[in-house]
Amino acid sequence: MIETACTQGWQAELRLGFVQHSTKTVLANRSQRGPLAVQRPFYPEGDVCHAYILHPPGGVVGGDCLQMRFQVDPAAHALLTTPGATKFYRSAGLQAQQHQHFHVADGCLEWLPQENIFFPGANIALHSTIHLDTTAQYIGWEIHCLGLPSIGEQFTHGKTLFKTAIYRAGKPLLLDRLLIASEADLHTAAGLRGQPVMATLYATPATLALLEAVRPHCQDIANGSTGVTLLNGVLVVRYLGNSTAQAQRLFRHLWQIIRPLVTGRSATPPRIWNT
Amino acid sequence: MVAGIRTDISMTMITDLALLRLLHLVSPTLPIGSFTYSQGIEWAVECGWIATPTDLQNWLASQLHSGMTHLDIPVLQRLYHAVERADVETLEYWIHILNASRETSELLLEEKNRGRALTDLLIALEIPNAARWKPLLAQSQSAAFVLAAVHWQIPLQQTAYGYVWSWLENLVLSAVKIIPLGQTQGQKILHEMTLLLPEVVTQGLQVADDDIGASSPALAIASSRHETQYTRLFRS
Repeated sequence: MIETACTQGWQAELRLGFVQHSTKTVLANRSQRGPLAVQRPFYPEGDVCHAYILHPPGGVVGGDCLQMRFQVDPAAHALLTTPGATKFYRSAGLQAQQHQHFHVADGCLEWLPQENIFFPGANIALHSTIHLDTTAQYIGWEIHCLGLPSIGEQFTHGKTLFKTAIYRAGKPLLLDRLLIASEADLHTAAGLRGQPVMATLYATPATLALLEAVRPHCQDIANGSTGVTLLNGVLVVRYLGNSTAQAQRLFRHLWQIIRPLVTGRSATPPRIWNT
Repeated sequence: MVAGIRTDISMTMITDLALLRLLHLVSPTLPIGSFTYSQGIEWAVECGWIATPTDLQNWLASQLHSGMTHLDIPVLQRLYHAVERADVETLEYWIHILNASRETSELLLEEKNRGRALTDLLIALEIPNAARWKPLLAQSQSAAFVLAAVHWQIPLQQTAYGYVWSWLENLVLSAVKIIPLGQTQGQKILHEMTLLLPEVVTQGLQVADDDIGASSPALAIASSRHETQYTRLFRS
Protein backbone atom coordinates (compact mmCIF):
# COMPACT_ATOMS: atom_id res chain seq x y z
CA MET A 1 0.00 0.00 0.00
CA ILE A 2 2.86 2.31 0.82
CA GLU A 3 4.28 1.64 -2.66
CA THR A 4 1.13 2.72 -4.51
CA ALA A 5 0.72 5.83 -2.38
CA CYS A 6 4.27 6.81 -3.26
CA THR A 7 4.16 6.50 -7.03
CA GLN A 8 3.47 10.21 -7.63
CA GLY A 9 5.30 13.21 -6.31
CA TRP A 10 8.80 13.33 -4.91
CA GLN A 11 10.42 10.02 -4.10
CA ALA A 12 13.11 11.24 -1.77
CA GLU A 13 15.45 9.24 0.39
CA LEU A 14 18.33 10.35 2.53
CA ARG A 15 20.60 7.78 4.17
CA LEU A 16 23.21 8.99 6.57
CA GLY A 17 25.76 6.98 8.53
CA PHE A 18 27.70 8.57 11.38
CA VAL A 19 30.92 6.90 12.47
CA GLN A 20 33.35 7.79 15.24
CA HIS A 21 36.88 8.42 13.95
CA SER A 22 39.80 9.14 16.22
CA THR A 23 38.75 12.56 17.49
CA LYS A 24 35.33 13.22 16.07
CA THR A 25 32.14 11.81 14.57
CA VAL A 26 32.18 11.91 10.80
CA LEU A 27 29.43 11.60 8.25
CA ALA A 28 31.01 8.51 6.72
CA ASN A 29 28.12 7.33 4.59
CA ARG A 30 25.67 9.39 2.65
CA SER A 31 23.29 8.49 -0.11
CA GLN A 32 20.70 10.83 -1.44
CA ARG A 33 17.83 10.45 -3.86
CA GLY A 34 15.43 13.29 -4.64
CA PRO A 35 15.20 16.62 -2.83
CA LEU A 36 16.07 15.59 0.73
CA ALA A 37 19.56 16.80 1.54
CA VAL A 38 22.11 17.29 4.26
CA GLN A 39 24.39 20.31 4.57
CA ARG A 40 28.10 19.93 5.19
CA PRO A 41 28.54 19.01 8.87
CA PHE A 42 30.30 21.32 11.29
CA TYR A 43 31.82 20.95 14.70
CA PRO A 44 30.99 23.73 17.21
CA GLU A 45 31.81 21.34 20.07
CA GLY A 46 34.90 19.79 18.53
CA ASP A 47 33.87 16.15 18.31
CA VAL A 48 30.05 16.03 17.97
CA CYS A 49 28.82 16.13 14.38
CA HIS A 50 26.19 18.85 13.86
CA ALA A 51 24.25 18.67 10.59
CA TYR A 52 21.21 20.31 9.03
CA ILE A 53 18.64 18.32 7.12
CA LEU A 54 16.96 20.15 4.23
CA HIS A 55 13.47 19.29 3.07
CA PRO A 56 12.24 19.81 -0.50
CA PRO A 57 12.40 23.58 -1.00
CA GLY A 58 8.75 23.91 -2.00
CA GLY A 59 7.41 21.93 0.97
CA VAL A 60 5.71 18.56 0.92
CA VAL A 61 2.60 17.84 -1.14
CA GLY A 62 0.26 14.87 -1.58
CA GLY A 63 2.00 11.89 -3.16
CA ASP A 64 5.45 12.82 -1.90
CA CYS A 65 7.29 10.11 -0.07
CA LEU A 66 10.25 11.13 2.05
CA GLN A 67 12.45 8.54 3.73
CA MET A 68 15.17 9.42 6.21
CA ARG A 69 17.41 6.62 7.37
CA PHE A 70 19.99 7.67 9.90
CA GLN A 71 22.49 5.31 11.45
CA VAL A 72 24.75 6.23 14.36
CA ASP A 73 27.59 3.79 15.00
CA PRO A 74 29.11 2.89 18.38
CA ALA A 75 30.66 5.85 20.23
CA ALA A 76 29.51 8.30 17.52
CA HIS A 77 27.41 11.35 18.38
CA ALA A 78 25.30 13.27 15.87
CA LEU A 79 23.08 16.30 16.42
CA LEU A 80 20.61 16.91 13.61
CA THR A 81 18.23 19.76 13.13
CA THR A 82 16.37 21.53 10.33
CA PRO A 83 16.95 25.17 9.39
CA GLY A 84 13.27 25.93 8.90
CA ALA A 85 9.76 24.62 9.47
CA THR A 86 8.63 21.75 7.24
CA LYS A 87 5.44 22.64 5.42
CA PHE A 88 2.92 20.02 4.41
CA TYR A 89 0.54 21.53 1.87
CA ARG A 90 -3.07 20.82 1.03
CA SER A 91 -3.47 17.58 -0.89
CA ALA A 92 -5.70 17.03 -3.89
CA GLY A 93 -6.28 13.53 -2.51
CA LEU A 94 -3.02 11.65 -2.33
CA GLN A 95 -1.34 11.03 0.97
CA ALA A 96 2.17 12.33 1.59
CA GLN A 97 4.45 10.21 3.72
CA GLN A 98 7.49 10.97 5.78
CA HIS A 99 9.28 8.06 7.42
CA GLN A 100 12.10 8.61 9.85
CA HIS A 101 14.09 5.46 10.62
CA PHE A 102 16.80 6.02 13.18
CA HIS A 103 19.15 3.34 14.41
CA VAL A 104 21.50 4.23 17.21
CA ALA A 105 24.10 1.62 18.12
CA ASP A 106 25.91 2.36 21.36
CA GLY A 107 26.26 6.03 20.43
CA CYS A 108 24.09 9.13 20.65
CA LEU A 109 21.58 10.80 18.33
CA GLU A 110 19.88 14.13 18.90
CA TRP A 111 17.01 14.98 16.56
CA LEU A 112 15.95 18.58 17.26
CA PRO A 113 14.02 19.80 14.21
CA GLN A 114 11.92 22.89 13.72
CA GLU A 115 8.16 22.44 13.60
CA ASN A 116 5.98 20.64 11.06
CA ILE A 117 3.17 22.80 9.72
CA PHE A 118 0.12 21.06 8.29
CA PHE A 119 -1.90 23.29 6.02
CA PRO A 120 -5.68 22.78 6.08
CA GLY A 121 -6.45 19.87 3.75
CA ALA A 122 -3.04 18.23 4.09
CA ASN A 123 -3.05 14.43 4.02
CA ILE A 124 0.06 13.09 5.67
CA ALA A 125 1.44 10.07 7.50
CA LEU A 126 4.49 10.85 9.60
CA HIS A 127 6.20 7.84 11.13
CA SER A 128 9.26 7.80 13.36
CA THR A 129 10.84 4.48 14.21
CA ILE A 130 13.79 4.63 16.56
CA HIS A 131 15.86 1.54 17.30
CA LEU A 132 18.32 1.86 20.13
CA ASP A 133 21.00 -0.60 21.15
CA THR A 134 21.46 -1.42 24.83
CA THR A 135 23.32 1.73 25.90
CA ALA A 136 22.34 4.09 23.06
CA GLN A 137 21.34 7.65 23.94
CA TYR A 138 18.55 9.50 22.18
CA ILE A 139 17.01 12.94 22.54
CA GLY A 140 14.38 13.87 20.00
CA TRP A 141 11.27 15.92 19.55
CA GLU A 142 8.44 16.59 17.13
CA ILE A 143 6.42 19.81 17.09
CA HIS A 144 3.23 19.61 15.05
CA CYS A 145 1.10 22.57 14.08
CA LEU A 146 -2.33 21.73 12.67
CA GLY A 147 -3.54 24.54 10.46
CA LEU A 148 -2.16 28.09 10.52
CA PRO A 149 -3.21 29.49 13.90
CA SER A 150 -1.25 32.72 13.35
CA ILE A 151 -3.69 33.74 10.62
CA GLY A 152 -6.70 31.98 12.13
CA GLU A 153 -6.85 29.08 9.66
CA GLN A 154 -7.92 25.91 11.41
CA PHE A 155 -7.26 22.37 10.24
CA THR A 156 -10.92 22.02 9.31
CA HIS A 157 -10.28 19.30 6.74
CA GLY A 158 -7.47 16.92 5.96
CA LYS A 159 -5.89 13.97 7.68
CA THR A 160 -2.75 13.42 9.70
CA LEU A 161 -1.41 10.21 11.14
CA PHE A 162 1.49 10.45 13.57
CA LYS A 163 3.27 7.32 14.76
CA THR A 164 6.30 7.12 16.98
CA ALA A 165 7.91 3.88 18.11
CA ILE A 166 10.99 3.67 20.30
CA TYR A 167 12.62 0.28 20.81
CA ARG A 168 15.59 -0.66 22.92
CA ALA A 169 17.33 -3.94 22.13
CA GLY A 170 14.28 -4.91 20.08
CA LYS A 171 11.74 -4.39 22.86
CA PRO A 172 9.19 -1.58 22.56
CA LEU A 173 9.73 1.15 25.15
CA LEU A 174 7.18 3.58 23.84
CA LEU A 175 4.51 3.44 21.15
CA ASP A 176 2.46 6.44 20.21
CA ARG A 177 -0.16 6.82 17.51
CA LEU A 178 -2.49 9.73 16.83
CA LEU A 179 -4.90 9.97 13.92
CA ILE A 180 -6.67 13.23 13.08
CA ALA A 181 -9.23 12.43 10.42
CA SER A 182 -12.00 14.96 10.98
CA GLU A 183 -12.60 18.38 12.45
CA ALA A 184 -14.23 16.70 15.45
CA ASP A 185 -10.89 15.00 16.21
CA LEU A 186 -9.42 18.45 16.94
CA HIS A 187 -11.83 19.05 19.78
CA THR A 188 -11.91 15.80 21.74
CA ALA A 189 -11.93 16.39 25.50
CA ALA A 190 -9.08 14.01 26.41
CA GLY A 191 -7.33 14.57 23.06
CA LEU A 192 -6.38 17.91 21.52
CA ARG A 193 -9.05 20.08 23.21
CA GLY A 194 -9.09 22.45 20.22
CA GLN A 195 -5.40 23.31 20.54
CA PRO A 196 -3.56 23.50 17.19
CA VAL A 197 -0.05 22.78 18.44
CA MET A 198 0.98 19.46 19.87
CA ALA A 199 4.56 18.63 20.70
CA THR A 200 6.44 15.76 22.32
CA LEU A 201 10.02 15.46 23.51
CA TYR A 202 11.65 12.10 24.24
CA ALA A 203 14.93 11.46 26.04
CA THR A 204 16.46 8.15 27.00
CA PRO A 205 18.05 6.67 29.06
CA ALA A 206 16.36 8.77 31.72
CA THR A 207 16.41 8.51 35.48
CA LEU A 208 14.22 9.83 38.29
CA ALA A 209 16.86 12.53 38.86
CA LEU A 210 16.27 13.77 35.30
CA LEU A 211 12.50 13.73 35.84
CA GLU A 212 12.92 15.78 39.02
CA ALA A 213 15.20 18.26 37.23
CA VAL A 214 12.76 18.79 34.35
CA ARG A 215 9.51 18.83 36.31
CA PRO A 216 9.69 22.38 37.75
CA HIS A 217 9.88 23.67 34.16
CA CYS A 218 6.74 21.82 33.06
CA GLN A 219 4.25 23.75 35.14
CA ASP A 220 1.45 26.11 34.13
CA ILE A 221 2.03 28.08 30.95
CA ALA A 222 -0.09 30.69 29.21
CA ASN A 223 -2.58 29.35 26.62
CA GLY A 224 -1.39 25.78 26.90
CA SER A 225 -0.49 22.80 29.04
CA THR A 226 2.61 20.74 29.62
CA GLY A 227 3.44 17.60 31.52
CA VAL A 228 6.40 15.32 31.99
CA THR A 229 6.54 11.66 32.86
CA LEU A 230 9.06 8.82 32.92
CA LEU A 231 8.18 5.43 31.54
CA ASN A 232 10.32 2.45 30.60
CA GLY A 233 13.42 4.64 30.93
CA VAL A 234 12.10 7.29 28.52
CA LEU A 235 11.46 10.84 29.67
CA VAL A 236 8.40 12.16 27.83
CA VAL A 237 7.49 15.85 27.82
CA ARG A 238 4.23 16.84 26.19
CA TYR A 239 3.03 20.25 25.13
CA LEU A 240 -0.47 21.16 24.03
CA GLY A 241 -1.10 24.79 23.16
CA ASN A 242 -1.46 27.38 20.45
CA SER A 243 2.10 28.48 19.68
CA THR A 244 4.95 26.66 17.94
CA ALA A 245 7.31 29.39 19.21
CA GLN A 246 6.28 28.61 22.78
CA ALA A 247 6.82 24.88 22.21
CA GLN A 248 10.26 25.52 20.64
CA ARG A 249 11.27 27.79 23.52
CA LEU A 250 10.16 25.23 26.10
CA PHE A 251 11.94 22.32 24.42
CA ARG A 252 15.17 24.23 23.77
CA HIS A 253 15.21 25.31 27.38
CA LEU A 254 14.56 21.77 28.63
CA TRP A 255 17.24 20.44 26.28
CA GLN A 256 19.81 22.50 28.19
CA ILE A 257 18.84 20.58 31.34
CA ILE A 258 18.34 17.19 29.71
CA ARG A 259 21.43 16.97 27.55
CA PRO A 260 24.07 16.97 30.31
CA LEU A 261 22.12 14.34 32.29
CA VAL A 262 21.52 12.01 29.33
CA THR A 263 24.77 12.40 27.40
CA GLY A 264 27.20 13.78 29.98
CA ARG A 265 27.90 16.78 27.74
CA SER A 266 27.14 20.41 28.36
CA ALA A 267 24.48 21.88 26.09
CA THR A 268 26.01 23.58 23.07
CA PRO A 269 23.04 24.80 21.04
CA PRO A 270 23.12 24.35 17.26
CA ARG A 271 24.40 27.57 15.76
CA ILE A 272 21.17 28.11 13.83
CA TRP A 273 19.18 28.60 17.06
CA ASN A 274 20.99 31.89 17.60
CA THR A 275 19.75 33.38 14.34
CA MET B 1 -21.53 -18.73 4.69
CA VAL B 2 -23.26 -21.21 7.01
CA ALA B 3 -19.98 -21.85 8.77
CA GLY B 4 -19.53 -18.11 9.15
CA ILE B 5 -22.91 -17.67 10.79
CA ARG B 6 -22.29 -20.63 13.06
CA THR B 7 -18.98 -19.14 14.19
CA ASP B 8 -20.70 -15.87 14.83
CA ILE B 9 -23.34 -17.44 17.04
CA SER B 10 -20.83 -19.46 19.02
CA MET B 11 -18.83 -16.27 19.56
CA THR B 12 -21.68 -14.50 21.24
CA MET B 13 -23.44 -17.35 23.07
CA ILE B 14 -22.86 -17.23 26.77
CA THR B 15 -23.87 -19.93 29.22
CA ASP B 16 -25.62 -19.03 32.47
CA LEU B 17 -22.59 -19.99 34.49
CA ALA B 18 -20.25 -17.98 32.27
CA LEU B 19 -22.53 -14.95 32.67
CA LEU B 20 -22.30 -15.28 36.45
CA ARG B 21 -18.53 -15.59 36.23
CA LEU B 22 -18.41 -12.40 34.14
CA LEU B 23 -20.46 -10.54 36.75
CA HIS B 24 -17.97 -11.75 39.34
CA LEU B 25 -14.97 -10.71 37.22
CA VAL B 26 -16.21 -7.14 36.77
CA SER B 27 -17.53 -6.70 40.29
CA PRO B 28 -16.23 -3.54 42.00
CA THR B 29 -15.83 -5.67 45.14
CA LEU B 30 -12.98 -7.60 43.51
CA PRO B 31 -9.98 -6.88 45.74
CA ILE B 32 -7.84 -5.24 43.05
CA GLY B 33 -8.26 -1.62 44.14
CA SER B 34 -10.15 -0.41 41.06
CA PHE B 35 -11.74 2.41 43.05
CA THR B 36 -8.35 3.96 43.83
CA TYR B 37 -7.63 5.15 40.28
CA SER B 38 -8.95 8.20 38.39
CA GLN B 39 -6.73 8.08 35.28
CA GLY B 40 -6.01 11.78 35.30
CA ILE B 41 -9.56 12.88 36.14
CA GLU B 42 -8.40 14.20 39.52
CA TRP B 43 -6.07 16.67 37.80
CA ALA B 44 -8.51 17.40 34.97
CA VAL B 45 -11.02 18.49 37.62
CA GLU B 46 -8.45 20.60 39.47
CA CYS B 47 -7.38 22.44 36.30
CA GLY B 48 -10.96 23.05 35.24
CA TRP B 49 -11.14 20.69 32.26
CA ILE B 50 -13.89 18.72 34.00
CA ALA B 51 -16.43 20.72 36.00
CA THR B 52 -19.85 19.53 34.92
CA PRO B 53 -21.55 16.19 34.13
CA THR B 54 -21.30 17.10 30.43
CA ASP B 55 -17.54 17.69 30.73
CA LEU B 56 -17.18 14.30 32.35
CA GLN B 57 -19.21 12.60 29.64
CA ASN B 58 -17.15 14.27 26.93
CA TRP B 59 -13.92 13.24 28.68
CA LEU B 60 -15.00 9.61 28.97
CA ALA B 61 -16.51 9.48 25.45
CA SER B 62 -13.27 10.84 24.07
CA GLN B 63 -11.35 7.99 25.72
CA LEU B 64 -13.92 5.40 24.65
CA HIS B 65 -13.51 6.45 21.02
CA SER B 66 -9.73 6.68 21.11
CA GLY B 67 -7.81 4.49 23.55
CA MET B 68 -10.59 2.03 24.33
CA THR B 69 -11.55 1.45 20.66
CA HIS B 70 -8.07 1.52 19.13
CA LEU B 71 -5.86 0.11 21.87
CA ASP B 72 -7.51 -1.64 24.83
CA ILE B 73 -10.10 -3.73 23.00
CA PRO B 74 -7.97 -4.83 20.04
CA VAL B 75 -5.15 -5.80 22.40
CA LEU B 76 -7.62 -7.57 24.70
CA GLN B 77 -8.80 -9.55 21.68
CA ARG B 78 -5.23 -10.62 20.80
CA LEU B 79 -4.45 -11.52 24.41
CA TYR B 80 -7.66 -13.57 24.51
CA HIS B 81 -6.67 -15.63 21.47
CA ALA B 82 -3.15 -16.06 22.82
CA VAL B 83 -4.52 -17.42 26.10
CA GLU B 84 -6.92 -19.70 24.22
CA ARG B 85 -3.96 -21.24 22.39
CA ALA B 86 -1.72 -21.13 25.49
CA ASP B 87 0.67 -19.17 23.26
CA VAL B 88 2.93 -17.53 25.82
CA GLU B 89 5.14 -15.83 23.25
CA THR B 90 2.21 -13.99 21.64
CA LEU B 91 0.81 -13.17 25.06
CA GLU B 92 4.10 -11.55 26.02
CA TYR B 93 4.33 -9.70 22.70
CA TRP B 94 0.95 -8.00 23.16
CA ILE B 95 1.57 -7.23 26.82
CA HIS B 96 4.70 -5.35 25.71
CA ILE B 97 2.73 -3.49 23.04
CA LEU B 98 0.03 -2.52 25.53
CA ASN B 99 2.46 -1.39 28.22
CA ALA B 100 4.59 0.59 25.76
CA SER B 101 1.36 2.34 24.68
CA ARG B 102 0.39 3.41 28.20
CA GLU B 103 1.13 7.11 28.10
CA THR B 104 2.36 7.94 31.57
CA SER B 105 4.13 6.41 34.51
CA GLU B 106 0.91 6.32 36.55
CA LEU B 107 -1.15 4.70 33.80
CA LEU B 108 1.53 2.05 33.30
CA LEU B 109 1.81 1.48 37.03
CA GLU B 110 -1.96 1.08 37.27
CA GLU B 111 -1.89 -1.57 34.54
CA LYS B 112 0.82 -3.45 36.44
CA ASN B 113 -0.57 -3.04 39.96
CA ARG B 114 -4.00 -4.24 38.94
CA GLY B 115 -2.41 -7.06 36.97
CA ARG B 116 -0.49 -8.22 40.01
CA ALA B 117 -3.50 -8.00 42.34
CA LEU B 118 -5.78 -9.82 39.90
CA THR B 119 -3.18 -12.52 39.23
CA ASP B 120 -2.84 -13.16 42.97
CA LEU B 121 -6.59 -13.48 43.20
CA LEU B 122 -6.72 -15.90 40.24
CA ILE B 123 -3.98 -17.99 41.86
CA ALA B 124 -6.03 -18.10 45.06
CA LEU B 125 -9.04 -19.22 43.00
CA GLU B 126 -6.80 -21.91 41.46
CA ILE B 127 -7.35 -20.77 37.89
CA PRO B 128 -5.10 -22.94 35.69
CA ASN B 129 -1.90 -21.24 34.44
CA ALA B 130 -2.35 -18.24 36.78
CA ALA B 131 0.60 -19.31 38.95
CA ARG B 132 2.71 -20.55 36.06
CA TRP B 133 2.27 -17.37 34.00
CA LYS B 134 2.39 -14.98 36.96
CA PRO B 135 5.55 -13.14 35.82
CA LEU B 136 3.70 -12.16 32.63
CA LEU B 137 0.18 -11.68 33.97
CA ALA B 138 1.43 -9.52 36.83
CA GLN B 139 2.53 -6.93 34.25
CA SER B 140 -0.92 -6.48 32.79
CA GLN B 141 -4.42 -6.40 34.20
CA SER B 142 -5.78 -6.97 30.68
CA ALA B 143 -3.87 -10.24 30.40
CA ALA B 144 -4.97 -11.43 33.84
CA PHE B 145 -8.55 -10.42 32.97
CA VAL B 146 -8.59 -12.53 29.80
CA LEU B 147 -6.99 -15.51 31.52
CA ALA B 148 -10.00 -15.64 33.86
CA ALA B 149 -12.42 -14.99 30.98
CA VAL B 150 -11.04 -17.78 28.81
CA HIS B 151 -11.01 -20.23 31.71
CA TRP B 152 -14.59 -19.39 32.62
CA GLN B 153 -15.62 -19.73 28.96
CA ILE B 154 -16.84 -16.17 28.67
CA PRO B 155 -16.95 -15.42 24.92
CA LEU B 156 -14.62 -12.74 23.59
CA GLN B 157 -17.31 -10.20 22.87
CA GLN B 158 -18.81 -10.42 26.36
CA THR B 159 -15.32 -10.29 27.81
CA ALA B 160 -14.77 -7.02 25.98
CA TYR B 161 -18.14 -5.68 27.22
CA GLY B 162 -17.20 -6.60 30.77
CA TYR B 163 -13.82 -4.92 30.45
CA VAL B 164 -15.25 -1.67 29.08
CA TRP B 165 -18.14 -1.63 31.53
CA SER B 166 -15.81 -2.12 34.46
CA TRP B 167 -13.54 0.70 33.25
CA LEU B 168 -16.48 3.05 32.77
CA GLU B 169 -18.13 2.25 36.10
CA ASN B 170 -14.91 2.74 38.06
CA LEU B 171 -14.09 6.07 36.46
CA VAL B 172 -17.61 7.44 36.85
CA LEU B 173 -17.60 6.46 40.51
CA SER B 174 -14.20 8.11 41.01
CA ALA B 175 -15.37 11.26 39.22
CA VAL B 176 -18.54 11.43 41.30
CA LYS B 177 -16.34 11.71 44.41
CA ILE B 178 -13.85 14.15 42.86
CA ILE B 179 -16.07 16.72 41.10
CA PRO B 180 -18.26 16.05 43.24
CA LEU B 181 -21.56 14.88 41.79
CA GLY B 182 -24.57 13.21 43.41
CA GLN B 183 -24.81 9.41 43.32
CA THR B 184 -27.92 9.62 41.17
CA GLN B 185 -26.18 11.95 38.73
CA GLY B 186 -23.41 9.34 38.46
CA GLN B 187 -25.94 6.63 37.70
CA LYS B 188 -27.56 8.82 35.03
CA ILE B 189 -24.18 9.28 33.37
CA LEU B 190 -23.52 5.53 33.44
CA HIS B 191 -26.99 4.84 32.08
CA GLU B 192 -26.48 7.23 29.20
CA MET B 193 -22.92 6.29 28.37
CA THR B 194 -23.73 2.60 28.26
CA LEU B 195 -25.40 3.33 24.91
CA LEU B 196 -21.95 4.02 23.44
CA LEU B 197 -20.48 0.66 24.41
CA PRO B 198 -21.87 -1.62 21.68
CA GLU B 199 -20.30 0.53 18.95
CA VAL B 200 -17.02 0.83 20.85
CA VAL B 201 -16.75 -2.95 21.29
CA THR B 202 -17.84 -3.73 17.73
CA GLN B 203 -15.35 -1.29 16.24
CA GLY B 204 -12.61 -2.26 18.66
CA LEU B 205 -12.85 -5.91 17.63
CA GLN B 206 -12.30 -4.95 13.97
CA VAL B 207 -9.09 -2.97 14.32
CA ALA B 208 -6.18 -4.32 12.26
CA ASP B 209 -2.72 -4.82 13.81
CA ASP B 210 -1.33 -1.81 11.96
CA ASP B 211 -4.04 0.49 13.25
CA ILE B 212 -3.59 -0.34 16.93
CA GLY B 213 -2.77 2.57 19.19
CA ALA B 214 -4.42 5.86 20.08
CA SER B 215 -2.88 8.55 22.17
CA SER B 216 -4.86 11.14 24.09
CA PRO B 217 -2.60 14.17 24.57
CA ALA B 218 -4.76 15.96 27.15
CA LEU B 219 -5.24 12.78 29.16
CA ALA B 220 -1.49 12.15 29.04
CA ILE B 221 -0.78 15.66 30.32
CA ALA B 222 -3.45 15.39 33.04
CA SER B 223 -2.02 12.07 34.17
CA SER B 224 1.56 13.44 34.10
CA ARG B 225 0.58 16.44 36.17
CA HIS B 226 -1.30 14.22 38.61
CA GLU B 227 2.03 12.68 39.62
CA THR B 228 2.76 15.77 41.72
CA GLN B 229 -0.75 17.08 42.39
CA TYR B 230 -0.71 18.68 45.83
CA THR B 231 -3.89 17.22 47.28
CA ARG B 232 -4.79 13.90 45.81
CA LEU B 233 -6.91 11.00 46.87
CA PHE B 234 -6.38 8.70 43.91
CA ARG B 235 -3.37 6.71 42.73
CA SER B 236 -3.72 7.80 39.09
